[in-house]
Parts: sequence; C-alpha cells; structure tokens
Amino acid sequence: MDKSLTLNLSPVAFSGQLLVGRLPWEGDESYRSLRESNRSHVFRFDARSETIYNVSLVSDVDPLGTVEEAHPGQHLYLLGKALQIAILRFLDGRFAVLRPARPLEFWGGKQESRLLSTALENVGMQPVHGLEIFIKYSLDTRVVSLPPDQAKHLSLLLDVSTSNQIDLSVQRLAADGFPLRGKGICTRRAEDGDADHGLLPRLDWCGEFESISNGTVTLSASEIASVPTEDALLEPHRRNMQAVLAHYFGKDSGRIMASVEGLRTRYNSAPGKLRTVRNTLTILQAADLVLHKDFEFQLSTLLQQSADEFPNQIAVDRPALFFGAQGRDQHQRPDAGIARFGPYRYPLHDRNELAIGVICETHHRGRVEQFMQDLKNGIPDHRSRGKKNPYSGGLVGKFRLSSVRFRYEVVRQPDPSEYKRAIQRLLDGGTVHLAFVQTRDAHHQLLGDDNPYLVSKAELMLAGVPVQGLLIETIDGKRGSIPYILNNVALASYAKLGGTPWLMAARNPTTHEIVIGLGYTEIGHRTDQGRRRYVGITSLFSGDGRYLLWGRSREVDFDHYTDALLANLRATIEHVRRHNNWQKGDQVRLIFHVYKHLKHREIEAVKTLVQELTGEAFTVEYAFLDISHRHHYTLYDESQSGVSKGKRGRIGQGVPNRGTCLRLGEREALLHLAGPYDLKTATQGLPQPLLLNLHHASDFDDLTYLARQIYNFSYMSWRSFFPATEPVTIYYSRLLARKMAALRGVSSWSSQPIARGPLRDSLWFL
Amino acid sequence: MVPLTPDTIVSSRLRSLQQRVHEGIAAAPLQSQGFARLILQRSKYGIEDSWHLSSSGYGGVPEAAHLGYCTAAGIEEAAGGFRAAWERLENRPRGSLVEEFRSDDISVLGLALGIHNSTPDETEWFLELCGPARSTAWTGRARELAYELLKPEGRLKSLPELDPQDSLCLELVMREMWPAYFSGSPAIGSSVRQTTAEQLVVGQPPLAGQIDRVAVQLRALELLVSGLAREAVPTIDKTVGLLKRTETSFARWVWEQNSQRRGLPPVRWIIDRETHVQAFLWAVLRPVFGPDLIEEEYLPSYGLKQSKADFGILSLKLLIEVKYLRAPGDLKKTEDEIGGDLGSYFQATDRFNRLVVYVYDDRDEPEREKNDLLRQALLARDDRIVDVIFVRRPSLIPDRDSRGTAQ
Repeated sequence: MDKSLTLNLSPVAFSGQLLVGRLPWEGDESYRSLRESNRSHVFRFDARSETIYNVSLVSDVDPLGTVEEAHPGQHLYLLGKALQIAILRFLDGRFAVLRPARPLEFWGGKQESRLLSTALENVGMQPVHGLEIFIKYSLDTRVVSLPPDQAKHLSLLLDVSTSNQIDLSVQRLAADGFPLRGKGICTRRAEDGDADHGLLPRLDWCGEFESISNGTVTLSASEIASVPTEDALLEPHRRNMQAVLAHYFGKDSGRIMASVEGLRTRYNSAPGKLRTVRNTLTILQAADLVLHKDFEFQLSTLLQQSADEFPNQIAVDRPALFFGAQGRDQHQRPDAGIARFGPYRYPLHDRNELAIGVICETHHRGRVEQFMQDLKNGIPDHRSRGKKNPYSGGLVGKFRLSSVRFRYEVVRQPDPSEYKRAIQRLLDGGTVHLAFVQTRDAHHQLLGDDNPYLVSKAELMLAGVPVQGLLIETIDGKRGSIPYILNNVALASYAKLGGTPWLMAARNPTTHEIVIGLGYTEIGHRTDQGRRRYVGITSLFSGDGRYLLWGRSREVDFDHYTDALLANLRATIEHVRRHNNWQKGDQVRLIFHVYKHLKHREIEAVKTLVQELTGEAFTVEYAFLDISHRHHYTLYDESQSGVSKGKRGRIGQGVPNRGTCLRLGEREALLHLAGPYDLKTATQGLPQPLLLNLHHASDFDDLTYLARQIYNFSYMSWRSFFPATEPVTIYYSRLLARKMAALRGVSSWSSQPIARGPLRDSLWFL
Repeated sequence: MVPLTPDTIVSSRLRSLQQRVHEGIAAAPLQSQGFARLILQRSKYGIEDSWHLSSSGYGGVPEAAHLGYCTAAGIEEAAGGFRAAWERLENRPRGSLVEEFRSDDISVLGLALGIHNSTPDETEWFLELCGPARSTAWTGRARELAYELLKPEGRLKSLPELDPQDSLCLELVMREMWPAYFSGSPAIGSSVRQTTAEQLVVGQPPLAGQIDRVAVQLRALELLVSGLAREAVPTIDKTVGLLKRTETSFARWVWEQNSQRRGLPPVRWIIDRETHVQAFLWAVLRPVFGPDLIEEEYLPSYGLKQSKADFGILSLKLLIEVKYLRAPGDLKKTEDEIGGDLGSYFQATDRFNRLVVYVYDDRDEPEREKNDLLRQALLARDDRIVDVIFVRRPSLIPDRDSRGTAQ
C-alpha cells in the first residue's frame, strides 16, 4: 500500500522553560473578570482540579497565582490557546482577521487572494470596491493522540477556503435598482478588544429586507424592526453574490463567475489546497511564535503517512448486500445486484401491477411520454463506450414488476392552480400508486403556495400517493445521461412504492442493535436566532441477520427534537423488542448518529427512558456519535492521479479513495465517503471527510466498529445507486426534514398522511 | 500448459466452483452457510474450516436455520442451541416470521432439519406459517423436503419439471443426501444427467455471492461426474455382454453374391482362421477400451512353456482367449488347451486374474448341444474363468469347403 496520505495537521513541538500559574476557581463571574482584566495572559479552567491555569503572553510579566515550572505535555489545551494568540499577534497588521480563535480565520492579503477582482481583470473589467471573493485561511489547535505510543500532541490544523464580501451599502444597491426584497440584511459589530488584534468587525444577521426610507431599512422575519441605512449590508452568501454580479455585470456575470470558479480550483482542489496549506505553514514556521522569552512553539511539517506519528488507518470493506427472490443472493454493488438477481424478495412486493399518474405541461407531453416509456421498458439500445448500459431492463425487466400503466393529465400553464386541477382529474380517474409531476428548474426558487411542485406534492400526498418530481430540463438533458437518470428514478420510485431494493447484512450479531440517526436542514425564513432548523429522525435495527429500516421516520421542529427523539426511541424499542422477542439477560446496543453534539441532559433523558422501558431485564450499552462535515480536517492522497472524464480531463487528483478512514485518537476518526470516482466536476474541489466524534457518555466505544458501520450505512440509501456521502441514518433524516420543511409552506398541507395515513411507513421523501 | 481434455475441463470447473465457495462462505447469510456446509460435507471439494456454531440468539431465523443444518451434520451441541433458538422464534409475533418462512426455502429446510433432529414440542404453527409446500423457486424441492421431514405425505414422489442448471442439480444433491425421502421418486435418466453435467461444465457459473447455488452446482457436478464415470467404464460383465452380442452384429455381414462394381470381384469378408477372429474382435474392443486393450499378451512362463493370450484388458485384469472351431474334434482340443494353459494365464494375478474364452464356431455341422458341456466343464474347472462364449459364424459365409467356389 502506498503511504501517500497527508493530513492538514502540524504537530507542535516546544522549547524552553514553561511557567504556569495556578489560581483557585471562584465562580464564573470571577473567571470572566479575571480574563477581561488580564489580556496579557491566557487562561484555562480545569474542572477536575477546579483550578484555573494560566500563562503569560508577555516576556517580562509572570503568570498569575502560584507559579511553577511545568511540563508542556500537561498543559496542551492551555498551550493551544496560547499558540492561537501567538499566531494572531503575528497576523496583526498583515492580514484582515475575521475570527480570533476556534478557528482563527483571516483573508489572504495578496492580490491573488482576491478571486473576484482577479476574475474581473481577466475579462477586462474593473474591480468593484467592497465586492470580493477572498481566499480565507483557518487555523485551529487540536490535541490528538498519535502513534506510535498514542501520546497526546498539540497540533495546528490548517485549512483554506473562500469567503464572500459584499460591503456595498444597501442605499447604493437600492438606488441602483437591485431587488432587495426578502434578502438577508446584516450589520457589522466590533467587540471590545477586537481592534487590538486587527479584527474586522463581525457580521450580524438582522432580518430580511422589507423597504427603505428616510435613512432606515425596515426588516421582516426578525425581532429587529429596522436598521440605519448606512449600517445595512447585504448578507454575503453565494446566491446574493451571484445576484449582485448578475445585476451589475448582466450577461458578463456568467463569464466572470466561470473565471472565479477556475481561480477557485487553485484553492479548493486537493493539490491546490495542499499547496496553499503548505505555503501557509512555511510562513508560520518562519514566524517567531514565542509565548514568552524562554518558551517557543515549533511547527512541524504536515503529518504524512510515512511518519511514525501518522494516525492509524481503519480498514473498511464494502458491505454485503442482499438481493433476489428469496433474499439470499449477495452482491457488493447495488446496481449489478438488482440487474442480476432482482430486488430483495421481489415476489413479496405487493404492488407488481402499477398505475402511475403523470402530470405534465401540455407542450412537453411528447417528451415526457417518451421518458416514461423508457422508465417502464428501459433503453436496451443505449451504447456508451466502455460502460455497461445501466438501464436496459426498465421497471418491468430490472425491477421485476409485472406491468406498468400510465395515466396522463396535462396543465396548460405551469401555475399551481392548474396543477391542482390536473391532480384532481387524475385522482378522480381511479387508483394511482405513484405520481410523476413534471415542473421546471426555475420553480425551485418559488416557495410554498407559489411552487407548482410543492403544491402538487402536498395534494397527492394528502391523497396517499407518493410523488416523484421530474424537471423538463432533466428530460431535455444529454441523451447519453438519460439511462443513468432513469436508473436512479426507477430505484427511488420502487422504494417509494414500498419495495425493498436491497438490504444490508448484520454479520454475526452479538447484541440487539438499534441505530438512531438525527439529521437536520435549515430552510425558509430566518429568525434572530438564525435560520429555522428542522430535524429528521431515522432508525435502523438488526434482525434476522440484516439491518431493517424502522418505517416511521419522524420530522420535527428543532426546538422539540428531544421530545421527538424520545418518542421515536420509545416506539422503536417497543417494536424491535416484540419483533425480535428480546429475552431476559439479552444485550442491547443503542447507537446514536447525530449531526450535533448531544447535550448532557439529552443523553440523560435518553438513558432514563431506556431504563424505564427495559428495566433490569437487559444489559444496555450506548454509543453517542457526532457525525459532521463541518470541521477543518482535510486529507490528501498525493499518489491519486484522478479519474479521466474524457474531454473534461481528469478530476479528483489528490482526493483520497472512498472509505479512507483515519483514527485520530480514542474517540475521533475521519472517514472519507466521497472519493475521486464520486466527483462529477473539477470545480467540486476536495470533498470533506466526515468527522466522527464519540461522546464521553458512550459506554460502547469500539470506534473501529462504529466507523465501519457508518461506512456500511452509506450503501443503504435507495435514493440513488451511488453510495451516499453520509450514513443513511443521517441522510434520510436530512431528506425527510428538508421535504417536510418545504411542504410546511403550502397552506393546504397537513402532516396527517405521514403521521397516521397511508404514507406512514413510506419512504416518500426519497 | 495443461492440455485441454474433458478431464481437465471438468476438473477446472470443479476447482473454480470450490474457489467460489471459499470466497463466498464467510459473507453468506447464516442459513446459506449451513446449507452449503452440509451438502458439501461428503464432498472432496468441501469446506475445510470447521462449522461455526453460531448460537448467540441475536441472529433470528437465519441463525436458527443454521443450527438446524448443524444438527443434520451431526454436531452434538447444535441440538440444544437449536431448541433455544426455536423457542425464541416461537414467541415472536407471527407477522415478523411469515415473510421469512414464505420467502426463504433454505431457511425452511434448515429449520425443518432442526425440528426433525431435536424434536421441539410445538411445530404445527411452523408449517402453518410457511404456507404452501410447493414453491416455484429453484429451491422449491428443498421446501417440499422440509415438509416431508415433518409431515410425510409423499410429496417428493412426483417430479416436477426441473430446470437443469439449478433445480435439477439440487434434486440430485438432495437425493444423494436424503435417499429415503426420494425412494418412490421417478429416476432421472442418464441423458438428462449427461445434459446437466454438460451445462454445468460449459454454462456460466454462479457468483460467489450465491453460495447455495455454487455449493449445489459443485456437489451436483461432482456426483454427476463420478456417476457418468462409473457408467462409462465397462465392467467384466459388460465386456462379456459385449462379446456375446458380436453374434447379432453378423446380421449385416458383407458377402456379396455378385460384384457391385465393374472390374472387381464381389466383396466377401471371409473369416477363415483364428487371426481373422482376433482382427474382428480388435475392431470391436479397441474403441471401447483404447490403450487399455493389449494384444498377444505373452504370459509369464510356467515351466518350459510360455503361453500367449490373445488380448488383455488391463483395467479389468481380464484376459480374452480366442478359440477357433473348424472340425468336430476341436471342442475337446479347446478344452485341453485352455485347461493346460490355466496356470500360465494366472501366473501374475496382480496383472490378470480373470479369463473369458471367445469360441468362434466355423464348423459346417455345429454341435450346439456339446458347446454347453464345454462351457460347464471349463467354468467348473476354475472360477477365474468368467465365461465361455460361443459365436456361430455369420450365416452368409458358406461351408468351409465351398468358400473358394461359392458364387
């Protein structure tokens, strides 16, 4: 095996004498006051000893309290804080700093770090002051256990990404006719001490633009009614940046953004990112990172796999999936498994003679009909050089359905009321098992009652009919890609109809296992607390040698997710206990996949409920695992030469293979669920691995087992034949939350059919 | 390079199937693991590692079925494990079991074997939940066997139409394993066996992920090959039968009365002395025995005399002595010659230990009643003489004195 992986982590070495001061803990208020009045020191509270440790950042100033010489290895977290401040002092005056710590963030100072200005110059235009796409650097410290002795090391984590700046006054934007209504408005706020470190004032989200008059911007969707015009800035997210460019540069904006994307790949592709991170590290290595006169930080090179300290790998294998009439045929690849053996226990699928309703625009009907015929019968004559035809059999051949009948209803205008009438005609005409609704890409921008797809989906689901969306742009797409699209549409349709495309083996189980996933989505209007969040809950359990999906997935408002989680847990345990006939003395393992760190009281609530349900009869163990893409670890494979995409060249250079998994310590691991073959375009950049973090309240702590299970669960998604970039526990939860949240905007919608109606156990959200 | 012969092709397929079993067994579902291990238990291509007696109690129906197969394999501890697993199943909601029982014939057979071998009390509900005994899947006969094990009703006596690649292979394997349950079933003809063997050798083999199909094909091919091999190599009895039937082949002996081609005399296959008979027999036996047939075998000397048998068949350790009767007194002479040479014929019994005498009767006045006397006498003299065969000359061949003048 090539030892070609590199992790964006630089172990920190120390030299010199470390003096640490000790102070007794005297409460939160006293601690806050201590920090505010002693900015020349760094503090860390150690809860176990109830002691506040501190070091001085200034050469001729001593630590506070009882001062003693200490071994750096005993104060790694304190030194981590101190290192960030040492770096911050180095950056001061050289770069625009966005955040001082956790992570420390700053914009690049060179002209080449200004992607938008460079792109504008490339196409012969003048940069616009206050409008920029910057290269953003992130630095953070981590304490990680590294081989060969798993000793704890302080390390610096280095990352690079891009960040937008739209510092154009709202007054100017309004005067220039930019459509501001409904767009996010922010203000900048400087905190005490920020100026000491050259920090840019922070952006605070205030609300959505309603109107402007007399020097005041009136806001909606916010508790703040208005802000002075001179303070109001447009929220600098990607969509707003594109809209501003389109407004000011018209037709040229496409060219400008294409140029930006080209420049961005220098920083978001694996080789570009790694080069930039290495350059940044070289600069920091040369900097004088001194704590005080006798104590220095020394940054090592990035961790490379050839080094003894490189984290150990966790080997993963594709899981065995079950297919075929009797459910015993195995294949590791879902597509080939279904093509060869048919879906899992397909003779038991109770909807073999399908009535499919199709709603489409009248002038698209011909193409939609052709698409639906291809969906039914497959495209046997599709030829693609060197590739297997993925969809030669169709719903009838590949998915072993007996017959498929279509009933069409057309709409003359693509407006929601027309769609509603067409759906009524469709439902009046007899039983429909599944409905396809053709809409347009542009409809995605419409919310709630204005969106024909959402309105149609709500109407049909209220009638107990699952829905599959279909964009006319997809149908009109490249002919060569249609079989691949049909293949995934057929898969999701089969699953929405209650079919089981495949199942995953639960090998040699030694316990009753229930895995519960929480995923979330942010959608709709923001509140002053931030964008509204919805949480989905998905559960799987082991039984009869495989993992089964607990049918009743739940969606809930973020504020009530703990209650929903407990309710879901109760229902799942009761069902699985009966289903598998748990017996006294049995072992039960509950694994939670969560997108956020569970709070202590949430974990206690879970344990109390389980105790209440199981009593003394069973031995229960828990694993609480945070699963996130939101972190700054990146992993590079310098031997990865990428995948040829024909005329589009090679993509995925430097991207580690899917399944690359590193153990960062007893409780942390990185797992890559998108490798070079999973990328579609060169501009996608280096995919972020999942960071797995096992909560301290977990008594089942086999991280290798848990990481492999997460990898395996990424093959359980029936939304596409391609494995997901998250375990299905999180992925399904997120899809569910997203779809439910979108439907909430439709006035006629009620979640009744999902809570108690015919779609209760359905995977309608795929 | 290994020469491409039927033998190497079959061996290569057997080895490739064995390889797939080894590749797939560990990842296979438990019920399939149990099934494959059981049917390959007596195979020389079987699974080397020992049975994994999984009885954690968390594996549900597949685990119980696996334990059922373990009981059938004679693993002592399995019966207790099966009973515990069975009790757990018994108390599960019926709805959670129906899908398992109705869809999976291999699980059903494993469970039936477990019930059969460990006799739990309550089993009626099991067949009730299993639904109809007949399944259309290639493993359908396994389900029928499961029902027969628990409730014999002669279901296996009728033979449904079986697809040669899979279900027929399963039938062959199950008949070999559980012959008593198939005792009244119609025989599977040799041509069907041969076709099945051919398809197994040339057809697309199943993937390692289909462990039960792979194991069934492996065992079936092994059984078919050894069966066909037994049929293909003649025994001494079959050789004697073949020699006896040479007389019937004389019906189309060539002896033209008139020439069929200008300038050439009429074609007449004359047999006029012992070497002609030997040539005729060589033509008959050589295609059957190939290099196994040797001629003019000099026998080890016995005193001063060294005798010579006409043919030897090495694999059968059988000598064939050809005698030619011309005149009435030749019968007695034949008896004396055979009797006199007996010692020489069986001097090295490790090489030849049986003799068949082939007597060609060219006498103008055959004494058929005496032939049997000679036969009885020789058979009585030494039980290593397996038979004395008399073959009368083709009727078209004229008397010995008329052959030069016959028109």
